Amino acid sequence: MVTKVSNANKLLLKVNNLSVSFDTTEGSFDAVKAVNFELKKGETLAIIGESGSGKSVTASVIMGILTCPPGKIKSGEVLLNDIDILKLSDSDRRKLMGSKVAIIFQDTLSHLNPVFSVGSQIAECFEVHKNISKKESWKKTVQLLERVRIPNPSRRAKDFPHQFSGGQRQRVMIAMALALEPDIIIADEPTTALDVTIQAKILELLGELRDERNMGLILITHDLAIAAEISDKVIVLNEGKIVEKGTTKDVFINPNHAYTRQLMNSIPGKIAKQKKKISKKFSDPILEIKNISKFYDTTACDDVSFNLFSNEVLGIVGESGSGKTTISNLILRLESPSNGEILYHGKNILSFNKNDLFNFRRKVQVVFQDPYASLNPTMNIFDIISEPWVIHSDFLHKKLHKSKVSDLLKSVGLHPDDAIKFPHQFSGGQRQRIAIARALALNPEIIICDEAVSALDVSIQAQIIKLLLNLRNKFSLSYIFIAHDLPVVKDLADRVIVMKSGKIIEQGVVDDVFNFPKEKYTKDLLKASPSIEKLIS
Amino acid sequence: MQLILEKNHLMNKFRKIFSMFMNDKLALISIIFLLFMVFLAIFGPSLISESYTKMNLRLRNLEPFSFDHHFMYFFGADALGRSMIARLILATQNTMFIAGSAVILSMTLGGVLGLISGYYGGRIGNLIMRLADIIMSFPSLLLAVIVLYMFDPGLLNLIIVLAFTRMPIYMRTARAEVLEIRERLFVSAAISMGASNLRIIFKHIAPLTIPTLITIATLDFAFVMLGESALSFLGVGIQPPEVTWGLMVAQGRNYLQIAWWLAFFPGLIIMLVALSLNLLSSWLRIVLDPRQRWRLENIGDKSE
Repeated sequence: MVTKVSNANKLLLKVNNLSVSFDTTEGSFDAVKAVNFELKKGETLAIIGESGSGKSVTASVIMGILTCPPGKIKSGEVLLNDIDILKLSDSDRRKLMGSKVAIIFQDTLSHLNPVFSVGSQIAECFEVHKNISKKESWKKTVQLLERVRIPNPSRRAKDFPHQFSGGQRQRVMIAMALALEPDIIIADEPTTALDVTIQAKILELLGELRDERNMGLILITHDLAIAAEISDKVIVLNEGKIVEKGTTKDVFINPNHAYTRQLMNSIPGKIAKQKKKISKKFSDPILEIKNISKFYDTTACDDVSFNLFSNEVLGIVGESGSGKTTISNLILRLESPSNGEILYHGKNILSFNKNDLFNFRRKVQVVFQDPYASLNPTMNIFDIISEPWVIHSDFLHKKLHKSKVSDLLKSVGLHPDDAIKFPHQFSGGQRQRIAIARALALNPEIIICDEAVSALDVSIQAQIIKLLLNLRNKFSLSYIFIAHDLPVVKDLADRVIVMKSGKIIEQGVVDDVFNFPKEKYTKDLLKASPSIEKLIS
Repeated sequence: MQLILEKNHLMNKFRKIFSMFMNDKLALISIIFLLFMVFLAIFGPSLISESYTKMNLRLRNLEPFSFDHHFMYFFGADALGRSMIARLILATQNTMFIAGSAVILSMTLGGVLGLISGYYGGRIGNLIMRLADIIMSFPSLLLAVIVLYMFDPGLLNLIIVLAFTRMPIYMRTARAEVLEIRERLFVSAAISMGASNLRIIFKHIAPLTIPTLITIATLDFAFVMLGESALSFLGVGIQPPEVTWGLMVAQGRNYLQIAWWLAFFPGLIIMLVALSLNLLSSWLRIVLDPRQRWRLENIGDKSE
């Protein structure tokens, strides 16, 4: 997919020595430190970095949407066609920017106005900036929607944002960005919220449009694989500084800086080689899922059966809407299935009385995807981790809570003093560690990880996966690991189940499924998932 | 040993709260003013003994700020020549007791009902919300007048009626908040841990709704004071010679042109109390939210 454009190597954008700082109560904090880069016509520049690396701040400076204060541009220039936009007055800049630079965001639902049809929102761009008639602008809108491959564009233009799927909304956003024929498109994590197969299509579309209109594309991402797929040049940002820059091939094949190498090593799909194989004794399964179905207005999961054995990691992969989370909710008994049964050590959990259920809950714990939402913000860490013992008061004497909380915090790699802090004082990865510590508190047999690492940066992701593997050996746990990200599952799981629209498509030992997929859907998934290996080999 | 540790812990807590007050001077002034009013409400009436009923017809509508008479007449005297200071102190006790109890009662009842309605939903939830609708569909003053007319217009009945008519706002707000919080992941986490419904409602959901409810309650405090004065003015509220600030304002209205101080001083106090409560509630809202608490804590760290 990488296309080298040799013609018209005209410089579009040049960023010189840009430094941005933020004023906080703890003094001034440098978000971007002396950043230099340039972008030519028809070229894709990927800005790679983890959260807090300053990549989005850089983009908002270029767009002129940095809020000052608290932001402050300390030095540098941003030359757009040789005009320094930082020196322009606000109104001059707005006139210039609107038509030259456009941006696409990650969260499409919050960036489209829910009460206007998508067509009228795109048409508005024409009417405001180009002064053309309503009829004409509507015609152009439909053409644009057709260009980004929205099926049946003249009818769909009248639909509202919520009537589109996530991938289609991103297409609408792209159409909107194209409306004024910009020279540069900035895509800020454009596919992070999307499924792999849809992600592949959106990236393809972006690449196509770049070549067709000879635009410059700045792709901001935390995902190295995406950068490898689509970009010509990359810069790697860490703590506001460029640690590495160069052509995509050079950087990925020959990373110079230690941070880039660390990032490369954290890419999921590599830990598998280090994973210790545990000899499997196929004893009785601890959990048997038998023909369960769950119907809402639609079918969320349909006739699903599988087993979970002791000390095993079972991966469940599938795209959004495939019924993965429904299964987790059913096992956790947050919801009841419409049909079928779930056996725990041979006993049906659906016919459990209150007492049995209480004991079952002790043995099955959960770690959710969003570590920002899964911890109660008003409770401190000690209260959060010790809550299971307060509920199961016979488990541990009150006097021992403190020392056990310290032990648990240590075993997930946090400091015992963290117990008096509150969730908001931790980063995403640290919060996920707290959630894991809480899940471990009752010595469970099974931990269900529902997209437990998908909200985290790659290097943090790798740490959490290693932690989960260590804990499994230490406490002889079984995991049900639910994810949409295939490489992560490859790292962690012994067996894997592939789901689509509520049904199990394929299941088997992880190496078999990944190396020799039988079903077409599995093959498609594997193909769509971006990887660096394609670039390197 | 244990006891000393606990004592130290308490001392630390006090110090922390005190320093958080020091970082918000307006809240500090408010709490001092409110504590003074509470002190007056509790001990005031026993200090002034019977002087609130003592009439002195020669001092009718005496102007305030004159040193010619006893200091009790410094704020002037009312139409029957009773000392304004004594009347205000007596009114403080009545008002604080009535409005305070009514607000606390309606906040607690309304809050709990709203929590239950929001958490359980279904038939119980609907039943509770329809109850709120019924209360709201009556003109609250009319309802209060009828109830108080039928029953004895005593202090307790007055409080209950005021609390009852103000309850729906807490029920609706609490319910709306619960509907959102209930879907958050930490609630699912608590359920899968085996937590009981009561624990989830009061340990996980309630703490997040309390700041909102308290803010409404402080706004409501002034409203309840006025509602009470309207009832008293109609003769179904507090009975003379007992008096409240609201009633003093209502009675003083007739004399506004010749003796402005009759309505002015109680009005001023109502305003100051309502203002202090508002300032205090915005302080409290920050203190109760761990994510915002640093705003009050950090300033202190810097100066140290």
